[in-house]
Amino acid sequence: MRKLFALLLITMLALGLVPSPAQGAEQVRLVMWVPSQTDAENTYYEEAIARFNQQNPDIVVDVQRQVYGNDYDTKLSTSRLSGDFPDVFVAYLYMIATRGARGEYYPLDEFAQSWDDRNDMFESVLNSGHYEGQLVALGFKPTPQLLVYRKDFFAEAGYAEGEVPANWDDLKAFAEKLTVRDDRGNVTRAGFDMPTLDSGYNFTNLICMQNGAFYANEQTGTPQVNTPEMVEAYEFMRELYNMNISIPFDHNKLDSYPFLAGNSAMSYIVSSTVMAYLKNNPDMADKIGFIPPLAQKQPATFSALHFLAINSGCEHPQEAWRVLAFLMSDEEMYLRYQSAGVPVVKSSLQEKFIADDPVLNRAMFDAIEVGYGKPRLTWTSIAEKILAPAWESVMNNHAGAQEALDEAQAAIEMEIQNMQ
Amino acid sequence: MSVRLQPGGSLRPRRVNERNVGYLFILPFFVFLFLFVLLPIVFNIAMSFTNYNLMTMKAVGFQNYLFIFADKTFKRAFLNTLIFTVAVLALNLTLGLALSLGVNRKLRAMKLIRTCLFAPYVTSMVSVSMIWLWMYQPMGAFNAILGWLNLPSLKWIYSPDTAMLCIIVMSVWKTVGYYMLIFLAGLQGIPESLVEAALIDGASPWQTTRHIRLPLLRPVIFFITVTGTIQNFNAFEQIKLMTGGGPMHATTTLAHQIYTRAFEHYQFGISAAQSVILMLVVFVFILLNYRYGNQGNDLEVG
Repeated sequence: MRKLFALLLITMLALGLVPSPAQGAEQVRLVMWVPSQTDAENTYYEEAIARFNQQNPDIVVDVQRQVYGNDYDTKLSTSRLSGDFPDVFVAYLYMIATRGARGEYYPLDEFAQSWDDRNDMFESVLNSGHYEGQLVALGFKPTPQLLVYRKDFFAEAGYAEGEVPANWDDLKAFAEKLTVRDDRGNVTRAGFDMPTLDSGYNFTNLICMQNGAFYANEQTGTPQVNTPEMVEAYEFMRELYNMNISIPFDHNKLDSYPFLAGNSAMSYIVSSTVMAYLKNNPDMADKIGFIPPLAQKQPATFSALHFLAINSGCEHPQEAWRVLAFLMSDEEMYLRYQSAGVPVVKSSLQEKFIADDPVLNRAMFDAIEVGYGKPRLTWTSIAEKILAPAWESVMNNHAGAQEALDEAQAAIEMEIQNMQ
Repeated sequence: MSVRLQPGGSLRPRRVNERNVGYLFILPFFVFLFLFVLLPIVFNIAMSFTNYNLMTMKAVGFQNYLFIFADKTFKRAFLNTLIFTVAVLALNLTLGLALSLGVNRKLRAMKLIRTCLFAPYVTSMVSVSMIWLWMYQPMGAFNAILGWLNLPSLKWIYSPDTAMLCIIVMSVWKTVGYYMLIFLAGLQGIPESLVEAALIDGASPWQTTRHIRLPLLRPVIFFITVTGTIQNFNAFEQIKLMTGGGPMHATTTLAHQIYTRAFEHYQFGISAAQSVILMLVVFVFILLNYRYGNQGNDLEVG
């Protein structure tokens, strides 16, 4: 009889019908996806989640590193198709609308009401996580585009220390003076990095923003692509490009940036990449400077923002919220900055953050302050897939700015109509 | 007919239907074909009449097809795909045949040469794309060569005028070894006696190639034209990795558009409709090939 009972118990254990003593009765398992840009960031999340798991024995979070960039969005979509969408995940700004419209986020308002840190969050960051009046995600990682320059190249061109461009006219003059060409007219050192491919539409977008041109009206949900401000911005970029001051590169491929290879004097680079570059090349710290956001009609730059969100199909939203709250705590936010360079998004940490690196962090804060993200609309990614080739056709003199933008406006309207 | 030895030592014919056994043997293939080829095609066709976006699905009739036919980017992708397929196929057939004729001889170094020519085909497309991407960079190998020749630099993949050409050249370099190998197998299957007889009759090497080898290679040409058409119509990896379809949609293809619509815009209905059109186009090309390319010949030569 004893043998029979033992055999039965072993069989049940093997089938998972009886919880093992180590497992605990009510342990909740959550899967979290993080698209880490750097190894340091990945290490931070692994260590942070290990701390969380230790402090919360009733929850086991399995943090999984994912590919960074647009492919991450694709991976989320495929996981939705295969039915293994993560419980907690990082979302990009444009996903707030694209995935929000399909009800993929668990609403956070109920949790946030009793959340002590709510009022300490930067208002703009907190507001960005709303979709149709509901808080659906918590912004935690702003990554503005910084205008960086090489101090040694500026000095070589005869500029005094701290003498930098402030607007578009200055940019043209500086770029021309800083460009180095060989005897065949080939640019060997760019005066200013102008991407030849910009499928992410970040560079083109930020130049337009400086002219007060935004391709979408978030309030009305309509495209405003062929406005005089947009046309003017495209014309300016065409003029600048045709001055032959740049080396061709793809704005989506970091390894193609002339500035990072030492072949350019000025460039717009995302803050996290600048930090990683300075960390890997400490000897360059004295040679790299930051130019305050350029102002044509208004000072502006593009600033991406990443969010932490909970899957609407998550079976344990309470526990998932505890993960979010943990990662948004003061300690974790500052630790994230120290170990992975992720800027803070709380007022109480601002001074401490700037004091830690007055040059770089001040530049980051200035950029975040005048930074704009992508419009939170369901057709954002489609519009950018239309606007990027429109810019390329203007740049290559295949079409005038007005003509290209009129066509783009019509194409975006057709897409929106088809979506309805 | 199988037999079974009885315990008593007598032989008794076993009543086994050989036809059923044959069907049983090929059943796994048909199950696989049904589950992983035919069923997805049926699902895809059904999806092309919906607006499926990962979360919701609603029937929209022919709306996706009407949208596609009005979409300029799709038309551009279609044209690009045709250009890419025709160019890569024509170059691969010509160069593949020329190379196979060149390596179809008994020399000591020939094995090494054949291996070198075939090696790019077995290398991953991702690695090959990255290497060529570096060579196409403004400070890359090709502009360095132009510099030595005292010629102005080109923008290569960054120019709408040369981007597709860059992708075609890379794709031919990657796949021509496979075409060479198939041609070589075909050439080695041609009886040497036919060529020798022609040579005795005074035919030149070009005439033996033109009038004996080429006609006998017709089934091989048919085979690689069909497989090559399918392969090139589905070109995606190199496009995605090297240019992302740009600049100015100069390199976007049907497969790239299908991917973009589905996984970047979540428009699975439009993507499915594009897939149906791609399938029909490839189907028409293959039918034309069957009608005018093969005319009943099979692959056996010699």
